[in-house]
Amino acid sequence: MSTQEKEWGLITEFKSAKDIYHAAEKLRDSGFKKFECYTPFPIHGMDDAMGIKATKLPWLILACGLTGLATATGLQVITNADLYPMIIGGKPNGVGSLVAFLPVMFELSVLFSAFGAVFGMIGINGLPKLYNPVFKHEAFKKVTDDGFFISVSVDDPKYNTQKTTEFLEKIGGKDVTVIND
Amino acid sequence: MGHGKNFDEKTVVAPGAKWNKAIAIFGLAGIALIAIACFTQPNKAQFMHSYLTSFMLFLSITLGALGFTMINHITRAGWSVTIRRVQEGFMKNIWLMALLFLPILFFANEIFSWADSRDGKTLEAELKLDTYHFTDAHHGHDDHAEEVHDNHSQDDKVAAPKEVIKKELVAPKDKIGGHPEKNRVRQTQEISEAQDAAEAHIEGEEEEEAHSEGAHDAHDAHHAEGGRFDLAHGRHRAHLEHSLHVKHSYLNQSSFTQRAIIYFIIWIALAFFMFKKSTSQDADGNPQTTILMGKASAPGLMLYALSLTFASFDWMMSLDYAWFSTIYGVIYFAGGIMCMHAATVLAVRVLQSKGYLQGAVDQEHYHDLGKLMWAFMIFWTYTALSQYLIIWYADIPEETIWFLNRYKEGWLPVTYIVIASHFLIPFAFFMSRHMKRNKNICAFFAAWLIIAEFIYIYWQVMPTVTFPITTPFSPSIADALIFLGMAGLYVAAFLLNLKNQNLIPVRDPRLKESVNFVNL
Repeated sequence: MSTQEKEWGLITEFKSAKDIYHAAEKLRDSGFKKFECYTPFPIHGMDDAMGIKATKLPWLILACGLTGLATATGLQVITNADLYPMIIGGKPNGVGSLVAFLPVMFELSVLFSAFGAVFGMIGINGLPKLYNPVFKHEAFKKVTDDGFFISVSVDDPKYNTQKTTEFLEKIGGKDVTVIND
Repeated sequence: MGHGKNFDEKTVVAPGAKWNKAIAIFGLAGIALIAIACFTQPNKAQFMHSYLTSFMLFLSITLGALGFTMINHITRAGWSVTIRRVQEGFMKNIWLMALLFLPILFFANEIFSWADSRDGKTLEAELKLDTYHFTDAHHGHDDHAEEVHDNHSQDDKVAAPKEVIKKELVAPKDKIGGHPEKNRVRQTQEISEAQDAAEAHIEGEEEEEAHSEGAHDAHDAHHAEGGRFDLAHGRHRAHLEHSLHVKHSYLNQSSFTQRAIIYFIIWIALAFFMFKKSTSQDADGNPQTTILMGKASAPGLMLYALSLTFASFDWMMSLDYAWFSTIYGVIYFAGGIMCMHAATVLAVRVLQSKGYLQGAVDQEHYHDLGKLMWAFMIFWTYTALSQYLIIWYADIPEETIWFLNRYKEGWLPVTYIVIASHFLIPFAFFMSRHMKRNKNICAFFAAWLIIAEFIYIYWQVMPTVTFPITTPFSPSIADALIFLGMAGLYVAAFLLNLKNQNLIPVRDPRLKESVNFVNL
């Protein structure tokens, strides 16, 4: 164990999906931003209960899609019209044959968008993540079975070990534990 | 979460007599508008083409509903249960479409040039666009043709066979008697015989001279029609006659009628079966009905796909009988499913604003309807572009002519409007989920897409009024009146179908899933 261990946050357990849902609402309402819920299964409406804002991912995907569109258009029009013009099947060069380029324009837009969506999602989620301090908490193993956990990070502006512990206990959290990293 | 949502049961029970007034108003207004349209459009052929345009639009909504209901049953869809009854209302409108089809059946010879009773006139027009147009394109100049003609006018040998052709051309119809289609073929044969004779007569003369003679004729025709058809795009008369001849066993009035009867038997049987089973489940709550409808949908969808494809061939593609596209039925299907979702959005929006379907349909359903609307708009683009791309690549005159006809005579702006309204604008502005989840914006784009599909069908049907010559773009008030009138009848029939039914399938086993459905 390293000697540089410092406080990472608090973790607490709830009994049911209903409890953790309402606890998340209370955390949200009292102004906490950097907290995380861990549940054995997805809970509908959890995003709203936690006050998570809509993702910015669609804008990233749009930018990627437009990049793909521009790449395909440029690649085909510049090569066909300017760099190496060839007359094929009596068709005009360049923009005059735009319709022939449409399939590639579509494919590259979709391809780049898909890259943006997948890698953007991975990046924004902070993946790949090989280690998370919550694993140090022994009870946390129940999270894949019947445990519902909330962790609050020290990075949260409202975080205060003493006060936050009291708050978590007040909203029904059991076994509030400080996790060091 | 956890505790399920519930719909307001009072707002989904059968409205009954409450709707009688609306049914009467929409029905009478519909009939009145179509009747007024009859007086505003004296040209019978153009009126019937306008009628066909609106008919095909509302048929696509009806068939879209039939297909999508069966797709929902076969995929055991849960989300769509609360909007299914509305779509079943559209589906059952097939009885109205069968009635509205009768004028098309009776006046088929006004619409379809292969069933033509305008023989003399059309043949004349076709003959003016004869094979010599292609040589004419090479000769080019009026002066030249004039010169050659002067030489020839002294030549009796050549003038004589020309007379023969003209005589055949203006031969009155009653001289032949019998079926118009048969006459058509007989006339064709006679004319080709006459032409053969003419050519045999000319034989021995110089080839070029013969061509120039024709070139002069073509120019006469060109001037007579005010330069309406340009020569390079003119129909090859031999091609038209050949198409008519080889397709005669398919494209004739009696088999056209027989096929139409088969289509409507299939559609009415499927639609009424599905509607009856679905509403009977409201009464007995038997879950076996759901399984039965799923099983019946499998053969039903096969029959549906084939009948829809052939119906689109018969009723729209055959307007230009020399042209063909195997993907045509798929394009019509894609547009139909899109329009049906749009119509569902509009119907649900209006019903909800009148206090119905409270709690049964929420923004999650609008979101999904919007997604499907948008997806089938893309699918339409995909199939329509596939058709265009292949024709463009191959560049075979008999195929490209269909698009070339829609590039001229004022149709070019309409072509661009189709691309913009049916793809570019909704693609860009209706992509976002916020647009689809907003009920009013969703309803706006629903109306937009129905109008876009109307323009698309209009763009396909109306240039063929004077087939084989491209009809100039000439919108008339009758187009709008028939569209609105048919919409009125359609709404009236829809309300009549659902008047005595619950507005959602209240005892469907998947109802709870649908009410609580959430898009992640």
